Amino acid sequence: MSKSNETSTIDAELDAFKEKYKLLSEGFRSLKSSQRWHTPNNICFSFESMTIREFQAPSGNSATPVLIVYSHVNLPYVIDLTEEHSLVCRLIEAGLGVYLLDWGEVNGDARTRDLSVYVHDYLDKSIDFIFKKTGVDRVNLIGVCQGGTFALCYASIHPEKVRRLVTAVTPVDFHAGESVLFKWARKIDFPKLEETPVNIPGEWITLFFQSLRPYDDMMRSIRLIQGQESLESLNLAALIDQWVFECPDQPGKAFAQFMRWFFQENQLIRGELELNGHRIDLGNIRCPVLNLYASADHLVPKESTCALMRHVPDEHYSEMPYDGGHIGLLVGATAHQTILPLMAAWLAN
Amino acid sequence: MISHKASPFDKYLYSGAFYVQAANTYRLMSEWFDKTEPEQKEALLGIIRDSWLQSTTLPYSSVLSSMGLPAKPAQAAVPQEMIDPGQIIARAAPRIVDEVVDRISNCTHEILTLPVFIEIWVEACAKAHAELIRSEEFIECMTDIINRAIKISVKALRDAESGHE
Repeated sequence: MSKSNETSTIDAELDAFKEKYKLLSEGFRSLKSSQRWHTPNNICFSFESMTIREFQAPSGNSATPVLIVYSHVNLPYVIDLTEEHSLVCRLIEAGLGVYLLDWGEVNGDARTRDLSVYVHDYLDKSIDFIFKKTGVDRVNLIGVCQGGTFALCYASIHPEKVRRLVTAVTPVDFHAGESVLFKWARKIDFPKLEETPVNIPGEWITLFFQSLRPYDDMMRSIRLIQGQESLESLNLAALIDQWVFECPDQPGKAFAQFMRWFFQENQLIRGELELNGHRIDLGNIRCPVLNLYASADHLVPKESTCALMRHVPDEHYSEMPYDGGHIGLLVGATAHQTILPLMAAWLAN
Repeated sequence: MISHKASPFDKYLYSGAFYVQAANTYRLMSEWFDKTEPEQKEALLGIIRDSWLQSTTLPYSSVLSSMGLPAKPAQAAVPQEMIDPGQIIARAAPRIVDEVVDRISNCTHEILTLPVFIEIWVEACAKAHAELIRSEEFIECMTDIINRAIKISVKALRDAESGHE
C-alpha cells in the first residue's frame, strides 16, 4: 500500500469513528437516564432510612417470598435494569414473590450507626414484616456481595428464620485470593474512622472503583463506540454506566467496622465476629446454601467466596460458577440464560 | 474558569480522545517500518509515555481533589513526606514503551492495522496498571493519601463540634 493510500485509510477510519461517536452521544442523550426500576414495585415497609420494595408479578404475587439483600456499597437497582437483564424478572418467572431490602440514603444520623444495626434491626425487621405479610415462617434470602455477608451473619444468628440462602459474589474469607480491594483495605486507618466516624462520600467510592481497571474500561468504551449497538444495548450500557457512577455515601462507623472486622481482621472466617453480643458461627447455618461465584471476579475472588464451603455443614452447601465478572453475574446475558434461572428454580423448589 | 460536572459518560469522551490520539500515532507507525531514525522513534515513544502519564494520573488526581487534597502533592503546601503518585506512575512508563515496541516489532506491516495497534497499546497499559495498583509502593502511597483525608475529615468534624459547644 502506498503511503498516501495508507494515510487516506486512517483518515477514513478516523472519520467513521467520529461519526459513530456522534451517534453514540446522540443515542445516550435520547435515553431516559432517570429510569431506575424496570419492574413495577412499591415500598411496603420502612424503618428509619431503610425500606422494603415489593415487586409486582403480572399474575399476582406468589406466596413463596424471597428477600434480596443487596450490598450497601452500590445502589440496588442493578438487579432490575431491563426485562432481559433483571434478576427480579428471573425470580418472578420462577413463581417467587420478590422483595428487596433497600438500605436507603445515608444522612447525618447514620454517621454513628453501628454495623450490627444493619443485621439485627434492618434485616430482622424486614424478615418479620415478610412473615406477617405472607404468612410464612421462613424466608428465602438472596445476598449479593456485601449483602451476602450480611445474610450469612443473619442466617447464623437466626437459622430458624431462613428457608434457603443464595450468596452471590459474596466475600467470606477476606484474606484469600488476589484482590486489590483486600490489599488496599488492610492499610487504611479504619480504627481512626470508627473512633470519630464521618460519612464517606459516595464519590470517593465511585472514583476508587473506576481507578481499579481504567484501561479495560477504555477498551470496552472504544468497542461500544465502534460497535453501532442497537438501542437496547445502548440503553443497557447507559444504565450500567449510570449505576456504576452512583455509589451511595457510606455510614461512617458501620463502614469502618465492616472494613476493620471483615477486611482487616477477617473475623468472620476466624469465628471471632460478634454483632450486638451474638457470636457469628457459620456452622450454625441449617438451611441449604447455594453459593454463586464469578470465575473472573476482580473484586471478590473465587477463593474468598468459596471459602464458605469449609464453614457451612457439607450437607447444606452447593455452589455454581459463572464464567465472567462480578457485575456480569447480575447483568450479563449469559448469566440470565443459565445460572440465574437455575438459581431461581432452586429457590422455588 | 470552566467547571465540569463529572458524568457517567465522560469515559466515552476520554476513550474517544484516546482513539484519535492512537490513530494519529498510528500514522507515525508507517514511518516505523520505513525508517529507523532514532528521533522518529523517540517521538513515537514519547507520545506513548505521555499518554500513559495523562490517562493514568487523571483518576488519581480526581480522587485527590474529591478528598480535598491537592492533585499535585509535590507542588502544593502539603507535608513534604507525602509521595506524589504521579512519580510512581511515571516510573512504569518505560515498561509500557518496551512492551509496545516489542509487540509491534513482531508484527508485519500488513497485520499491524489501527485496531491491532490500539489493542497492543491499551493492553500494555492495562498490564502495567494492574501491576501498579498491586505494588506495595503504590498501595503505601495511595493509602497514605486516604489516611490523610480521613484525618482531615475527622479534624474538621471535631472542630465543628467544639465550635458548637
